Amino acid sequence: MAAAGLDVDALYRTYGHSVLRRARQILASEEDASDVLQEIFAGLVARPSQFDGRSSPTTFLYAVTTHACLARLRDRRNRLRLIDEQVRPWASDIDPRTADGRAQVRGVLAQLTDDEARAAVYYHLDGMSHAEIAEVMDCSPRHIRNLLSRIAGRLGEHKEAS
Amino acid sequence: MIDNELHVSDLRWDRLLAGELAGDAKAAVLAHADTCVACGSRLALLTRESEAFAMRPGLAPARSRRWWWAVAPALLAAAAVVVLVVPRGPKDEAGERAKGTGPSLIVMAGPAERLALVASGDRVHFGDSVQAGYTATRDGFGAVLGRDGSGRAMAHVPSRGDVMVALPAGTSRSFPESTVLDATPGAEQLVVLWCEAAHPLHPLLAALAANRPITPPAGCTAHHVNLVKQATPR
Repeated sequence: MAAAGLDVDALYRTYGHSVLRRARQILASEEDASDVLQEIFAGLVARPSQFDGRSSPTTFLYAVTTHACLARLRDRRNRLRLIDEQVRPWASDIDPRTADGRAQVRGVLAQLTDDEARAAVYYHLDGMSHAEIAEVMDCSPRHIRNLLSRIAGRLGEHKEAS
Repeated sequence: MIDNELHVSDLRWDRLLAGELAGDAKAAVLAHADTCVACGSRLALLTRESEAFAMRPGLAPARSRRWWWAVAPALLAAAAVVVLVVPRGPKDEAGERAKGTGPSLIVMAGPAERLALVASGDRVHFGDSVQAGYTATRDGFGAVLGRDGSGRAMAHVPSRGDVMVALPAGTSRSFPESTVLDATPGAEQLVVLWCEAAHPLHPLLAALAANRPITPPAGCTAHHVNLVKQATPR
C-alpha cells in the first residue's frame, strides 16, 4: 500500500476498531480514545507518506496509536488526573490483563521512559510476546527482556512508594 | 499470571481480522482459539467490535474540519462497541452529544475493595464487583443491564422490578446498587443507561437476550462495555 495511493477510508474501516480499542485500553477514556482515532486518521489523510508500506498496516497503526496515547499520558494535566484516579497499591502476582491489573499498568505509564512505556503497553495491555514487541519496536528480543525487567523494577518501586 | 508466550496476542488477532494472516499462521491461531477459552472469547469479542465498526460511515473527503463531523457518528458508534447508540434530542441529530450537556457514564469493576475503571476488552473474574457511575447536570433515571456468556440477559440495576431507578443530578455519583459477577465464563456485555424519564426495561432486555442492537428510548444515553469474564486465578 504505497503512500501515494493510500486509501485512508479503507484503512479506517479495516483498522479503525483496533486503533479505537487500543486507545481506550491505554487511556481508559472513551473521549480521549475517540480523539486519538480522529488524530491518527486525519494525520494519514494529511500526510499519507507516514505509512511507507515497509511494515503491515496493523504493525504501523499499533506503533502510531501507542505513540499518540503515550503522548497524551505525558500531558501533565492528563497524567496527574490518571495518577490520581488509578494508582493503587501494587499487589504481587498481579495479572496485568485483568481490569484491576490494567488499571495499575495505566497508572504508571506516564512515569516510565518512552521505550519502557511502549513495551509495557505491548506486553501488559496487548498481550504480545517478546518477539512480537521486538518486531513492532524494531529491536532485539533481548532488549525487550531488559526493558520488561526494568519495568518490573519500576513497578516494584511504585509498590514500595504506595 | 498470564503467559503471553502461551496465548495469542491482540496484535495477531488484529492481523487475522485484517486479513494479514494466511496459511499456517492463520490455521495456528484459529486452532488455538478452538482450544483456549480465554483466546476464543477474545477473538469473538474483537470480531464483534470489528464487524460493528466496519458498518459505520467511512471517511469523508478530508483536509478540512468537515472530516471530523463526517466521522463523528462512526466514532460514537464504535465507542458503543456493538450497537449504534445515539442520544436522542434536539442537539443530537448529527449523532453527537454536545459536550457538557449530557450525562457521562462509567463502569468500575474488580475486587470489591479495589474497583478500577474498565473499558471494553478488559478481563474480570468470577466474584468481581461491578459498579456503574455517572455525572449528570440534571436529575434522571437509569439502569445497568447485562448479557453473560450463556446469553442470559438481566438487569443488574435495578435488581428487582422493571422500571429504571432515580439518579439525582451530581458529579461522580454511583448507581444505587452494585453487582457481584457469577461464575458464567465468557463475554460479559454491560449496558449502562441514563434517561430523562423512567422507562420499562423488558424491551431492552429482550433485545439483549436476542443479541440484537439495543435502541434506547428517546432522551437516553447508553454506555456499552464488553468485558471478558473468567475464573479467578489461583
